[in-house]
Amino acid sequence: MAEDHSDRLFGLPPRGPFATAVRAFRRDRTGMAALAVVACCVLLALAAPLLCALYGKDPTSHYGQDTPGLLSAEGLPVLPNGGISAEHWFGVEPGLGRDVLAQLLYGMRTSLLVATASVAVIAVTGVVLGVTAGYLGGLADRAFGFVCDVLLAFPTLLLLLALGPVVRTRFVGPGENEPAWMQFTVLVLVFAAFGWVPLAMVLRTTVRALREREFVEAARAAGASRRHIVFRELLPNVWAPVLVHVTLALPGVVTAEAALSFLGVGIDEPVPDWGRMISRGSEVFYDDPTYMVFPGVTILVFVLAFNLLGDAVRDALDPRTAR
Amino acid sequence: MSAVLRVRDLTVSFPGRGSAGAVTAVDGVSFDLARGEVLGLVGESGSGKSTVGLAAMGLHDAARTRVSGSVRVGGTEVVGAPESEVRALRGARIAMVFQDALAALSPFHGVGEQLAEAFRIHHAGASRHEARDAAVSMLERVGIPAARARDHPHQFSGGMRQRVMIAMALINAPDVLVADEPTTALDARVQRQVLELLEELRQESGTAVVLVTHDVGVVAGTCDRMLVMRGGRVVEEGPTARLMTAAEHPYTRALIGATPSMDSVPGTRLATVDGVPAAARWDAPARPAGTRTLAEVVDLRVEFPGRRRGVFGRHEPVRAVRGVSLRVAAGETLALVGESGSGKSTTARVLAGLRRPTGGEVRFDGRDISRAAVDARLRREIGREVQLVFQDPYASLNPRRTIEEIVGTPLRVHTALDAGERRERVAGLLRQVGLDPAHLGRYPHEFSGGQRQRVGIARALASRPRLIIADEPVSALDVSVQAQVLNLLMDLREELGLSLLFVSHDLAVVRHLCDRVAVMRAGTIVESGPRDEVFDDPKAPYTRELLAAAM
Repeated sequence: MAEDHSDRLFGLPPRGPFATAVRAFRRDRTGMAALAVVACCVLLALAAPLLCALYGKDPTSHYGQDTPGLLSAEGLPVLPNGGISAEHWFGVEPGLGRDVLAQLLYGMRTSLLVATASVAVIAVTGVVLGVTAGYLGGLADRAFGFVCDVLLAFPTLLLLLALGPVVRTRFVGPGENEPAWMQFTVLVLVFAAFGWVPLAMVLRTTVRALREREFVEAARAAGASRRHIVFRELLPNVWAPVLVHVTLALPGVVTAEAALSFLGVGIDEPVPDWGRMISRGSEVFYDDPTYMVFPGVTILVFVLAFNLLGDAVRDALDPRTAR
Repeated sequence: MSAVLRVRDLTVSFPGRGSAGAVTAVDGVSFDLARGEVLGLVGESGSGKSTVGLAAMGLHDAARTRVSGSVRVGGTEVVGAPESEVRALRGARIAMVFQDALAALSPFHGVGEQLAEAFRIHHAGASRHEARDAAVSMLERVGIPAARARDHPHQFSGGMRQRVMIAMALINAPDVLVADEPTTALDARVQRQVLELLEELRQESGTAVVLVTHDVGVVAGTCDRMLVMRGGRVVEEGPTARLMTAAEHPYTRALIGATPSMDSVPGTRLATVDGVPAAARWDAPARPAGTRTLAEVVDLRVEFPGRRRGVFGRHEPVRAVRGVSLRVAAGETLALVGESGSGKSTTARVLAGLRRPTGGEVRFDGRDISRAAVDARLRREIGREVQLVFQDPYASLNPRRTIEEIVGTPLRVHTALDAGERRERVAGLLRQVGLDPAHLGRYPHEFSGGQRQRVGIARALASRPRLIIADEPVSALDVSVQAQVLNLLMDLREELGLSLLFVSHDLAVVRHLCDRVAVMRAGTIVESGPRDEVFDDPKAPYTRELLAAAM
């Protein structure tokens, strides 16, 4: 029996959809640069204690108050450009006099921790709810749609502003300090509670389209169980939208976290945080603009790199650009 | 007579991205088209036939394609001409009809309005009123009453939409009409009507037609001359009558022999383009007549719930199948024939246990299986005995799973084999359908359409079923590949003694393959009987109509 005409392909090793996407990604220069920046950020955050030990500073010591000659009587850095010196590379914080570089490095840890934890919860919740609603259809799907609509209608930012103090007064006794882990948990839960909706809605639509495809019917015709269909036939087809959503949601959480801290309901002192740095920077902007520049530029680069990475991932996984 | 379309040494290539090499879609094609002539441009997918049509219209994106050679429409050069000149040509001197009329028409405007717009583009001085009149009279010429000019494309049937497309193409009385697979998406009867309309209009107006198609049958019925293309090159060119009967090139002969026609001997092997030459046919083996009933439906009714209306109400249910009775005997091949929407696929799905009937009995081997769609255990047991081969080999294989996993799924469900044993069985199945077992770890997108359909057949065979339901298994495939898959199905049927329920709209294929035929229309069976009886002496008027359209 004669063979069809695609034998030229079979000179190459088998290429799965994933390998194809990786190849497409590696051709994308912007994507590779963004990936390098992101990897660099993650490394810096992981190695922050080590780097600070080498640098000889920590993010909580009040160098400006302890060492005379760094801060003026008004609490502003004496040296120009926010007190940049060989000792303090990025200057010192006005007022408390902490080291800016150490704060930035530790602030990156805060941002990444909140963002990755939130995105992990978002991904799991979104996949479970979205795929279930999409596959079951009917009543479950309508209930799902209603819940999503309600959650999307919430004024999220106002709710976050209102919820922070409530949680604090409910779980933390007066006069006590809220433990850091509780702040983190509250932030992660709040982000996850609203963040899963778009992902789940995308997946629901994807799965609804997929379950009408003949390969699902073919699996049913073979007598496969529901479990087999969901886990072996449907899930392998949704990881692409999940990956894209996750890489694009992460920078969103980073900026949201910074915004909340800026408004005073995010992470409290003494845990270093970019949003709070910017908030302090805005207070002293006319006297010490440099203090605003460092966290501002860092957030910009960080978020931009993640967004570009997300775009590159989406392009690489887009079936229209490859295959 | 001077040529209205003169193509010389036309070469179209798409420069590849990065390391990938350029792809030459059309390579040195030359032909002339005289006034009022119909030229058939025949080839399989990837032969470059549509690219020629687009090049004649000057529709290629200059940034992504390199076009060289010469295309002259009534003396005006298209290749390399500035966009403004080509635009004046398009629509006025040369027009195009696409395959998918629904995609080619704007969904937000009435068809009359769209026609008037096309008229005004080339009649700058025309008033709205004149344009509307021109549109309405053109619609009437293609058989659409003036009262429907305000209707939107989705309100028309497929054949009517294609008529609108033709009206739009002809409204400026062009010299050349390029029709790219104009009837491929249509049912046989409608296809015939549209082709007749084209012929009529050609005689009236003298427009020359380039008919781009993969269907040799369509060309045979309509074209004066034909041009056979393969891999971007012209294989053979000549009068249709000569090529159909005495083609010189083996590819042309194979292409013509690969389509089962209404005169070919049923059950014989079909010629394939790269394989058995047409001359090597042998007599069809005698098919045993089945007596024992394997599967049957009695008075089957299937309704789809109507669309939701308000909170509680629903529209009238759609009655897809209304009282159908069928039986498939062991070892027999039964064809279920009908046009789209006749309920044949729904009937097949009920027999496969995938859809629950609203009423009636469904039995397999004497056992009631009507609850299979809701009962997981029964479903599993039926899945072992009855398997499906699907129409679209692209949609029916999961793109994220390897061939081994896809073909192994029924084994995983129905047998206790471990991974190694499964692998061995899958390799054996691949050999059985003519694929290389070395391709186990590959993904569906690495295979061609015909190979994918083989994978689908291997999957259907995996659980060693007794009945295979094939739902239009070859209608999405190229002619030569279609022949290979039909040959494979016939071989397997002999080898394994399978019963086959063959759902199709293609009468020639059905006649070639099947022992008994049941004709469906609007949810009921209008005629059924042994093949020769139905084809030679059709009782129902509808069957006669279908046969007439297929001749």
